Amino acid sequence: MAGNSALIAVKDRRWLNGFGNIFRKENHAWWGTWQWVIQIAIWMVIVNGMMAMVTLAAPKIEAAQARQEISELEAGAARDALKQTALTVFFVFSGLAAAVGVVIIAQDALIGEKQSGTVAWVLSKPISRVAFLLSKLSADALGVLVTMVAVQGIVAYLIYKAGTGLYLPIPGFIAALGLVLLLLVFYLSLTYMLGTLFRKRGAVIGIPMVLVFGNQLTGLLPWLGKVMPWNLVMDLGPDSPSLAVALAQSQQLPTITPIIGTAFLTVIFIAVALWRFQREEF
Amino acid sequence: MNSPNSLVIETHGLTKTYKGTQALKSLNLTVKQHSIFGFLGPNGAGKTTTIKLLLGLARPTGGSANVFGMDIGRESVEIRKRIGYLAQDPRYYEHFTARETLRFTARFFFSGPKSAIEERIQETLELVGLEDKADRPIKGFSGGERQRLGIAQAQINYPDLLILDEPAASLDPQGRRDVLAVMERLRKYTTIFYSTHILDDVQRVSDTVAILNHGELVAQAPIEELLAGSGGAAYRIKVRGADDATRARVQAQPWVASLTEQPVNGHAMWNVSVTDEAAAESQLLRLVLADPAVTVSEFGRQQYDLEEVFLNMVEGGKNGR
Repeated sequence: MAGNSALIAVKDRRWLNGFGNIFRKENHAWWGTWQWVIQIAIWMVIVNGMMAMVTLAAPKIEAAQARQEISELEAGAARDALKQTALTVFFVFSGLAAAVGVVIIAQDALIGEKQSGTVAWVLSKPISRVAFLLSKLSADALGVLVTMVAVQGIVAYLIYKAGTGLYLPIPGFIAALGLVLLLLVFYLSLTYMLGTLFRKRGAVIGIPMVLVFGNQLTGLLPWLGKVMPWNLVMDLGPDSPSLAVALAQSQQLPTITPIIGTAFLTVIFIAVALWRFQREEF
Repeated sequence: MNSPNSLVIETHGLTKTYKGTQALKSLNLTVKQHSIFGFLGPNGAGKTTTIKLLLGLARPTGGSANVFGMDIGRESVEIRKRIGYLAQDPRYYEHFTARETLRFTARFFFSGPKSAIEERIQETLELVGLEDKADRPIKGFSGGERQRLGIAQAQINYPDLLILDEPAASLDPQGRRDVLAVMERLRKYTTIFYSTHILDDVQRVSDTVAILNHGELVAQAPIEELLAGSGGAAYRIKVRGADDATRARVQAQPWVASLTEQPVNGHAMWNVSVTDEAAAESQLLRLVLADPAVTVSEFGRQQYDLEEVFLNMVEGGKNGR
């Protein structure tokens, strides 16, 4: 067809053809609407709200010590417990509650497009299926990183300082937030993978939801705890904090197996999603 | 793609089976450059399946196909760079406006400059008559407006091939007229391959037609050839005053296969089937008029209505079963 010579054709990016266009559209859905504000507000209330409530106990410890209701030793132990509890609450809620949010956001990414028929329209354009899936996944991962991890982490850091008077070691705390991100990307990629395998929402939402709260299964199948992401944010045992809490306090990690297991499974989920999506018919 | 006869679409034994049901049976199809190719068939004939295979939205279970000489399996993205596609039931992001939809579509093809892209979007909106609704969300669009937007997004990249799946099926007569007018406007720039079951539309705009039934190709020919009939040529003659001798004289010709007669308002309408068109063209009318008592008020080659051809093929022997 006769064209306009002023127009510049997009460069051939092979398996990434069309990535930028979808990535831009998906980013617009996060940042060009109220979505980011809503997500930040929700997780601020749930994650940092819970942490703030814990740290509200700090003045009470000081007051009790001032009234000599508890000894110096007891007050010190209470302060240590509070520090540990505040971090545990932050990471547990970041890991579990936010994971639920991730599943709810991600379940629509592919199923919604399949059910509305827009995926067939988009894939009739010069876009590779790999690019389609990865661009949506990347944009969602970026949205999760900023609204559920980074902003919440900064606020949590300040709340912790306000509540305990202590600054957490920044490299350790960032590494701990990295574990939260790993966990959330695990559920994000799992939900995407299920979105390529199923055409209805039930399984796509149900399976990850069961897994989010599936740490109870470690009682029956202890090895699961080594490959699943639960111990990234949940205590390994009564006297053994989660990996995120340990990292945030710059403690020695008792194990890195759950980190490797979670990362490995995340890669597997993405690989399966890409493989299945390449074969899907619309 | 320089030769006017070069093939844009070429399928060889293209087959698609869904859960044991053959949706498409060994389709051999050729579409020439710059044709308006009507892909005709009843609902469920396999038209949409063929289109999805050509676009890489589905995978063939047998055979092969080339578009612009490129394999639909291995070079699908390259093929789609040169195609515009309108789905049967087009779906877009409902919160987008028409302009945003076209901008989103254009970015799959063009990286800039922004002003040229915006100019192309405006040009396309004007082509389909949506310029006054360009900035309204699509969710408020009527069926006709959606279809016009569909055509706009399908041709924003100046495609070498436009694939339209039932472009006028859901439209009222005015909407259909508009869509066909747009297709006619585009025909000088591009090849149009469109599926339909609306025979009037095919007769109006197509130059080549393929008829598909139960997944099987039952005919492919230029539309004039199809309308002229496939069982040899026939001529219609409206006569008055012809007697048995005139009839016998015509029937005695070695190139006349049959002669049937029907009375029409005091006249007789002859239908003469012939085996030699050249002989019929030069001699038939003279033979009839050799008798001075005979008058002829109509003479011409028998033209079939597309509906007749279609129904004969779909309901007759070539039903694809």
